[in-house]
Amino acid sequence: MSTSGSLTFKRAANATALVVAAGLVAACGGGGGDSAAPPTQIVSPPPPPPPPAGSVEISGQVTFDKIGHQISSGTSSRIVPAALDYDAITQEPARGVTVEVVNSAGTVLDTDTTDGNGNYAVSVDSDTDVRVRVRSQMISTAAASWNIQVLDNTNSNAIYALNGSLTNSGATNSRRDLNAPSGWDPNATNLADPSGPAGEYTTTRAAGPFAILDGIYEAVTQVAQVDPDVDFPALQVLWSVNNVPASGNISDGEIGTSSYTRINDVPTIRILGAANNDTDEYDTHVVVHEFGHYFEDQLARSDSPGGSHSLTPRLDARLSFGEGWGNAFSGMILDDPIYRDVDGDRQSSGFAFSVETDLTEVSSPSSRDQGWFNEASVQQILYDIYDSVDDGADTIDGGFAPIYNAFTDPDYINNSDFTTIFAFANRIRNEAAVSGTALDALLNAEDINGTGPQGVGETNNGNLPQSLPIYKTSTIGGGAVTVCSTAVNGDTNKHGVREFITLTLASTTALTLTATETSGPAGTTDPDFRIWETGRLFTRDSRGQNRISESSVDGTETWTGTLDAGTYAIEIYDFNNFETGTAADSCFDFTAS
Amino acid sequence: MRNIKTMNKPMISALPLSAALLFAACAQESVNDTASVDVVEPSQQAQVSEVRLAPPITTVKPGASVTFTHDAVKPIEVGENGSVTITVHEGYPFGTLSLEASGGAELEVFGAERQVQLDMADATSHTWRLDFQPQSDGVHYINILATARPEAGMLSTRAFAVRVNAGDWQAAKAKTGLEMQMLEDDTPAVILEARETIE
Repeated sequence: MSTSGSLTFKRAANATALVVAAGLVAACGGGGGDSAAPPTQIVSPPPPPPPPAGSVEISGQVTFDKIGHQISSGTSSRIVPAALDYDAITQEPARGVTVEVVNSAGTVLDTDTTDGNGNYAVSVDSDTDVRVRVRSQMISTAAASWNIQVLDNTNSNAIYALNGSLTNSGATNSRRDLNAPSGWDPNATNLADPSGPAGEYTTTRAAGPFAILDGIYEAVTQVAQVDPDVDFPALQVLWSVNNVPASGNISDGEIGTSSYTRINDVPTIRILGAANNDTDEYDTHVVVHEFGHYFEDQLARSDSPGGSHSLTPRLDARLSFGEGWGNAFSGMILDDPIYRDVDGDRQSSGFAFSVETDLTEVSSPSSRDQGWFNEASVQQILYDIYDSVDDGADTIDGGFAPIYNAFTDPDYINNSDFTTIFAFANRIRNEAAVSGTALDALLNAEDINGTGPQGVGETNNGNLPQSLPIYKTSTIGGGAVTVCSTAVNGDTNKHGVREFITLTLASTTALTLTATETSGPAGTTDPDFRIWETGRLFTRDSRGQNRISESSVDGTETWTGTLDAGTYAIEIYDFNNFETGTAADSCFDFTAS
Repeated sequence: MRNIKTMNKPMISALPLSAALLFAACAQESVNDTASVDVVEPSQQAQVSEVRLAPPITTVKPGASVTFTHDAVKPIEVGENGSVTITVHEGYPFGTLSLEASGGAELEVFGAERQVQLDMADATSHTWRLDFQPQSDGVHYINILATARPEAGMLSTRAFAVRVNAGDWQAAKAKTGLEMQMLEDDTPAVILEARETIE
């Protein structure tokens, strides 16, 4: 029995007997003894060492309220509505979190980390007033290491501390179970829609930080299974009930949307918390999706331009790969291919889809063409490599290890080509668990047929002929390479806004790169380009050069400088298509001299 | 001029662009008429010890391919009527886009425009006016939910919020903090009360 915000003392007979027995063992200095064991004795793990004389052990379980989802039927063929299911609130163990026992002055007397069942045990002096406190933090200092905190960005980036009561430790071992409640009252009037169905968060939403950590616990422990020495860089997750989908001051909670980035070079996931609008602490697939971006950024490599995206529009190849990866990764880690994200009043709307389902179309043109530019194609391929269910063209049962190996291979990370489905497929086909023939079948089923890290020979242009070949090649003193930019599929980060060029230098070279308009709106065409070096884009390289060439000169762009020997990937675009509302179809001649 | 373009940039890319602008001028200054290829010995170059990478990008969660901008919302008194014009940008060639706005008990959003349905084949940008009236001092938000249905069986949503500062909003905002405590290791903490069972 438990009561919200209050204590319940339960002294069942069997619990008392256990405590008494434990006390006797402690009094006997551990109860080891010297007597010989009988031959038939079953060997069992040695009991934990007893607390020192004058000490007592406090143990228990930490849990949080987890709220499930209602998902409409039909995820095997389409995207369906979803909502939070407040009739499905369960108490789940808070795993891997830091537990402290503190005295009345707040001094930490002992600490522990909850195990896979949320259990902890700490030792304190007997007859002392102490409080059990759980931090919204997971730390591992083992071979597989991490330090992940959920912080309140609207309260000075404070950590969340789930507090038990200040209660005397007594003379014998005792148990204290702590639960972080959801704060949901099914009978309360909804604040956003008072005339609608009842249900509202009316008390502190203490479960939120621990619900977020639960998804991340799954991620770090599963990665650690394939790499026992993995070292995750410190990660902060910013979550608050004040986090709204508005752009503005992060300390006011205006975070835009749930996202991943680096703030002052600290890897940061931001999670929405605005009830009756969009709150994601129970949308665990969203949390793990963003963790997938953190994984790519910190342990592998991502060249994604980021920004708004969805399953249907054609995207920049780097964006479709990164977002398809995030979706697939959430399905792998949670062992549940159905991605879901809810929002709206009472968290009663939203959508769900399966990363196992073919959400693309064969016919072209379509609003959801399959191909290298579609995150739905990418997520399906990656999940099919992972899962053990053979469906459609999928005959691969690779598990997570080959995917991890490919992402973290230095040859993949330090490659001159952008991170796309082609670069990834080129690397993962070296894994023994991934048959090249079976991988080609997966790719071809999504109309991806180019080869090598650049997708040479690709024939699927996503209804945009100029997008092929995916990489054009420029040479010093060679002929002009024609490239184009269009916002026909949307601006900023969509398919066709940017084209890729490779430039290989045999030695350190002083050179001039020029893009000159050959077609486009008179007086407003603005070619720009960026020079990438193995996934790095310098705004100040070792020679002090800025590799982003974005002058405002009409119709032409020129970059002059010196580059070392190597292969460079250049993305080129019309700046008008970089931003919203100034779309322009234009083409340029690119030369290197 | 580049700075005119930047004013219209979405927030997500504002920082990278700002940085890019600063350096674009430097790049322009270095432009010369060199047309020939010169091989440069590494020892001849002035090496710069500090290198800088472009600012990190921000990845966002999947959802409807819809973005929002709106005109400035001035602070407003409690009980006073206000309005905001929102521009909705969507990236779909066809289908329907449903928009729904709500404010809750502290911010009434009224008028027939609270719920609209748009034909995405008509344009990629749509303007949408909302009228509202705050009922109390404080920072309130107009909650907006966009649901895109580009075709049958394809559904996705995207939420947005518009901030409204009402009355003495700064004083009201200062009162709404959670219980805070400084932990022993000087870590600030928000205190959450557990449901606890002691045996």
